[in-house]
Amino acid sequence: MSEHPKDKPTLKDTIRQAANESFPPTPPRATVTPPAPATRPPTGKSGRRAAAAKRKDFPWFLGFFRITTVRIISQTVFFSLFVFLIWVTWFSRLGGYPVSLFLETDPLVSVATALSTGTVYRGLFKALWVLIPTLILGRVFCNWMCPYGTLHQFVGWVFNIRSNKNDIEKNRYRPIYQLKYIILAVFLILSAFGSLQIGLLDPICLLVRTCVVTVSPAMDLSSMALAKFLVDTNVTWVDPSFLSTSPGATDQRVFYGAWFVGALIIALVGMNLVIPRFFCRVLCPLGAFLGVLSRFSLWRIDRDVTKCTDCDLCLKGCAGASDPQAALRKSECFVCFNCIDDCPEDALSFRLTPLPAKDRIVGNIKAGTASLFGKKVISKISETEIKGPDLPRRRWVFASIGGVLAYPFLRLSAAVNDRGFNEKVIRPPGSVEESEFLERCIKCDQCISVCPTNVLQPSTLAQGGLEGLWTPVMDFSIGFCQLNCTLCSEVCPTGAIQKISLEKKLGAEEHVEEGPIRLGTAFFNRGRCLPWAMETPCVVCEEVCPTSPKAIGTYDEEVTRWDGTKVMLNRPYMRPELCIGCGICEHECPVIDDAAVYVTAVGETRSKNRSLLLESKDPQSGT
Amino acid sequence: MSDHDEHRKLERRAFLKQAGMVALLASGATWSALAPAGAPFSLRDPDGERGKSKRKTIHLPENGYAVEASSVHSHLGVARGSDVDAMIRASVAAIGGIDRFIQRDDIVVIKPNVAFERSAPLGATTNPEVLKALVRLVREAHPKEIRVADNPIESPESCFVRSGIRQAAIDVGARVMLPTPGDFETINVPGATWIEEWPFFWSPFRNATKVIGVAPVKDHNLCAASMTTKNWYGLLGGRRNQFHQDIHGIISDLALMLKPTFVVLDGTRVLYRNGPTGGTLGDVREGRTIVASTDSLAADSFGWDMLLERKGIERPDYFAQVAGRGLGNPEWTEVSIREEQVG
Amino acid sequence: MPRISSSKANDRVFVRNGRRHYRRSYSSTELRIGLVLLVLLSTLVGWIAWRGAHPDPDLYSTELPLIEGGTQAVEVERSVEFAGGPRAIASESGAKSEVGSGPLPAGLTREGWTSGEASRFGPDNLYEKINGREGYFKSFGFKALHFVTLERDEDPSTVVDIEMFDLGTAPNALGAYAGERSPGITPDVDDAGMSHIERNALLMTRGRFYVRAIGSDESPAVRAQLDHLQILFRDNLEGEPLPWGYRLFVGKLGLGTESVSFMPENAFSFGFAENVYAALLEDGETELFVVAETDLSEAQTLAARFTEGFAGYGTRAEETGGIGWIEDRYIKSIAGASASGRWVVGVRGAPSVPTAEAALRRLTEAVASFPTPDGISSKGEPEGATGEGESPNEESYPEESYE
Repeated sequence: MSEHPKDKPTLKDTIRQAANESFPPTPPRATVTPPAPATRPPTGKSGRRAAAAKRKDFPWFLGFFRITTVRIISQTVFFSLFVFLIWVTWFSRLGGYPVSLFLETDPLVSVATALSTGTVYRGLFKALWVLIPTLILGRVFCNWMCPYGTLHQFVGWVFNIRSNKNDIEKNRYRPIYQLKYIILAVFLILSAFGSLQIGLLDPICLLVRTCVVTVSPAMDLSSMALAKFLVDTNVTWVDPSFLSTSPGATDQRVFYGAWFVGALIIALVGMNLVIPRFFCRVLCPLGAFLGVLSRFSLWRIDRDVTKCTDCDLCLKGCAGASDPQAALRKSECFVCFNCIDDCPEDALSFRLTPLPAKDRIVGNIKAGTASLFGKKVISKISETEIKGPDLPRRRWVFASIGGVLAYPFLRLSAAVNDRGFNEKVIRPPGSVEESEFLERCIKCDQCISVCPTNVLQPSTLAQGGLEGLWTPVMDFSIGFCQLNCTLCSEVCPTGAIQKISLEKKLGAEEHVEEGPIRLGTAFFNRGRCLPWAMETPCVVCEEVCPTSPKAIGTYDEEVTRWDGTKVMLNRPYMRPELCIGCGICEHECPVIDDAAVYVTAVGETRSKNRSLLLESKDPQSGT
Repeated sequence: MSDHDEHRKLERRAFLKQAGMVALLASGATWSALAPAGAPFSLRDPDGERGKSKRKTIHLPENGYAVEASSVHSHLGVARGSDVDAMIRASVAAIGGIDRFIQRDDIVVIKPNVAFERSAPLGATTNPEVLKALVRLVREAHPKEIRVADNPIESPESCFVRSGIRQAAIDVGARVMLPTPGDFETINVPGATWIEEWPFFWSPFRNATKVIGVAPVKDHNLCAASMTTKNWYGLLGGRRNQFHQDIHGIISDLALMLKPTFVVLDGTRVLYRNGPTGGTLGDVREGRTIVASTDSLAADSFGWDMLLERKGIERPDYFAQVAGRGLGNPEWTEVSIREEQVG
Repeated sequence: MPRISSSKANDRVFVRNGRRHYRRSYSSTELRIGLVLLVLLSTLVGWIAWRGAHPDPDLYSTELPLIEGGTQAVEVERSVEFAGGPRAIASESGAKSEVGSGPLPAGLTREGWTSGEASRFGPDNLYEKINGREGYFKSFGFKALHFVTLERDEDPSTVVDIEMFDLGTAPNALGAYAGERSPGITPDVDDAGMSHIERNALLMTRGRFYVRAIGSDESPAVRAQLDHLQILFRDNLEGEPLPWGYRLFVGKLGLGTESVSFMPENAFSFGFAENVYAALLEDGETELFVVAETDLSEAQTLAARFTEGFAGYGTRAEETGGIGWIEDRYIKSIAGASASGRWVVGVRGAPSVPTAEAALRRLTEAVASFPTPDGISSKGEPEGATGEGESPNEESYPEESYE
């Protein structure tokens, strides 16, 4: 083993080295003659102790601020930012925060919606902020920014009690890791046809959705419990509403199918105890997409075969299972730098387009007599790079066929068809027409998160089929659409809910001719209505109808009840040309089991085919 | 001693130790299952009574939050004009001045009407200027805390923001309390017809000593008018959508439930038709009047006659019902009143 | 595969020494790059914080997004102020209003007078101001009322209330004026309207406006102010030339302008009678009326209807010259109508058939040589005239009772 002089590089050296041969710096070597094939450097525990002894020669801060520490800080910052942006997605906290930031910088969202709609909507250009670094540096997103990846990595790390040997075995590449490319191919083909399903497995969408549907209500509940506790113990200086994601909402928020989403996240995160970063390696379509792009990346981890002793320690912390100990799989490497941290021979470095060494090796590498540019080749493995995803062509072809077949199978279900559509699928105001909606909605559920009345729910399979799973629908028994609110349109990153101004929603000022945006129409079920069928006064629906003039009128009549008492009954009727389908009538109707006035999607303005009344262009006519 | 005896001794010791544990567990289980109900650690419940969920119910103070009646001061103070601050001062001065009602160390709850997400000029909510003026006036009596609270029908945050009440309260340093699920307790109103037990927005009332209502003058599609007596509707939770089945009876129960320190009838704007939600400026006209009163019903009757201008038209049922319970005088002309023009 | 064993090492929950690493050396290059990255991260956090502090202003606005109501296109403006309450309150504002408010011209006040704030009423709230008389104005196509009170500085109880009614068209204004004018008054006629001052009131029309200024008493000061207003309005309000009915009766037939009246609808209590000009002859009893129709056949149809209408009040009298005269059963006056070209001409209230005949002949001759008036649409309505005074709103609310 050659000596290490204790030299501190100058600034010029640093810059030169950073450009050519990143880190760690290679100390100058003695001359060229290959030494006799005698002693190999100490490996195993003694080798590691020798390495540890050498490390003490360096100042403490170099060790503390090595690149993996910075990576951990970066992961922490992005994860905290992610949680913060979820926390801030509420009317009173929203301010101007860019709550859709992670979704907009997600390249898979942008590319898939570009395929399905042919456009790059609003903030989706920010995907370039991730795309371009990926093309230059590889999959840095996966281990420096992705909050879901951070979650998996953290759980896998903090509960990891395996020995080094077992860690190494766990991180070897497995063929099952090809699955994510198959998933990616299917999704992208579906998108090209116009059915956007990436939201089912995209990590950012999945994490946002999970937080909205399971974590947020749990936090609200805990905030309530904390509040009760503080009251009982008479502590007033702590305001427990900081724990809540929906402060000032009168009712505890509830969401459909929360159990399933919760079970899914527990399963996926729990799998990290079996295979580290299971989701990232096996299922993540975004990772697959970035992996495909990484084949072009300029920088990669390079293994110096003249130093590598094939000890496999680099695999101990390898996050992407990218085989740095042999041929590095560029599309799997997460650029986590754990391998550099673990190599006792300093054989690994992050270099700019290093050429594969294989072709330049002279001699027989297995026999130990090979040399490279005059230096002795120690490692027995000559391959150092695999560029692209290691998926056989056959599998790509079958995946694509699957994608092509999936499209008609999904789309021919009645939910999207204008004849068989589910009338209870009432979309938020500003939504585009249904087939376009399915081209754009990434099921991130941000609109559901920001909705102040909890009326938006993630759709179940029964309501929207598989294509509509987890897309936002309104359930008026839980909430109603607030008249002057356009928050959902504000936060939708892909334009499934177009950004609308309040004037457009209400049909005011410059939008008077178009009229207001209607979500549907309300209908009376007279057999259930208290004044119509039960001689009991009530008129809540008319009272709360927010339009002016009201869309509900009453026929007023004084009747003598069966028991002889006289009572004034205000019997309500609909004015369909005025109804905007906000659903507050259904929400407030006291017949809460099956409301006597209910809203269905017919009459919604977003779809010409689902209109109810004949529409004229004349604003005077009131339609 | 032989090994065998040694061994037996140890066996016995082990046996006694374990037997002791067994005895403890067995007796503990037996005690908790069978000991009589009153005994400590007893879980016995022979007839199911103990297992029934007990709802903690709250009672409001016996005499409500009213101060002592006075024969010297008027019951109604009417101020007309356009300077809201001056009008509030004049009307409250007419019924005895703020010091009659608020003292140092009081915790005051001010309950405006923020029921709907409407901007202030639409007249469906309390005028934020009136709220500000009232809080400023109350502050002069140096209470410990002023709380502004309401349980709106629509989403609370949006209602408070859009009506301007939230900003107004913040501007004058009052504490805004929005309803959350944990803020409700069941209230017990003895003698009430419908709301003998009902969920109540309790958090602002915890340790409160004075309650002031500030209600706008509104037409109402069901009960013809919504003014100070109906204002307490916004303190209830639960299934309020059932109230419309006997709205006048409910209003009468509300009067029974809460006797305030005093009420302010905000007649700066009058929603004279299409209430209670209104929705266009054409439904609103200027009223330029503020009434302070220790008799809510009398204030309401003044509003009916003079602000809604329905003098001569038969009053809504609730007037008779509330008067029948002895909770107010339905004829403002019979009540001592002072009017002032403040410019 | 790790074997599951019960040794303590494999029973831990958390990792032990998770930051253990085996590299041999560190590098200051790494440190420098790391620091650059940390700076980038803090910039990102700073940008997020800055964005958060600059929200979209529409999100938290308490402004009304619209004035007129969400789902309705309303064309009529609403009154913003309610100047109700006793007169004394009107004096509270006390601000001099030198600049005219709306169509009210500037300079309403003479020296010694102060003007209050002008207020405006639309069809929906007219009744607040003129309870009881609103129906009258609405039948003349009421559009808006501009109201202002002038107050004498010396004596605030001396006031002049100015009401300026916008009735949409000149005929409407003239019609309303004619209805309110006391009988026997001879108005001053100018090119675009008429006016007169009687006792404590100034009544005048100017174009489509009908102005009423009523003083609190008949003092000289009030009178002087009224004179001033008459001149002011005449000079400053835009007028339009007198309508064709006046040109016919006054110009052609030489009747006094005060004798002409215009009924936009329900003339003589006939529902079908619209846009009828009538004039009282010199004898004070006989009334001539004329309606412009599209063509002869339409005119004949309308004339027949008039005749039928009159017949409902009386019995058929003689028939002369092709016209069936009707004698009213109570007051015994003669009425009849016929068509002449596109005109429907008729007589009402004549004392005898010969008088009626003569009057009708006079009218028919005048009308025959009367050119087709400019600005009369095929229906015979002057452009812009409307008989409807109700706004769309009123029909959409069902009657609500409070009993």
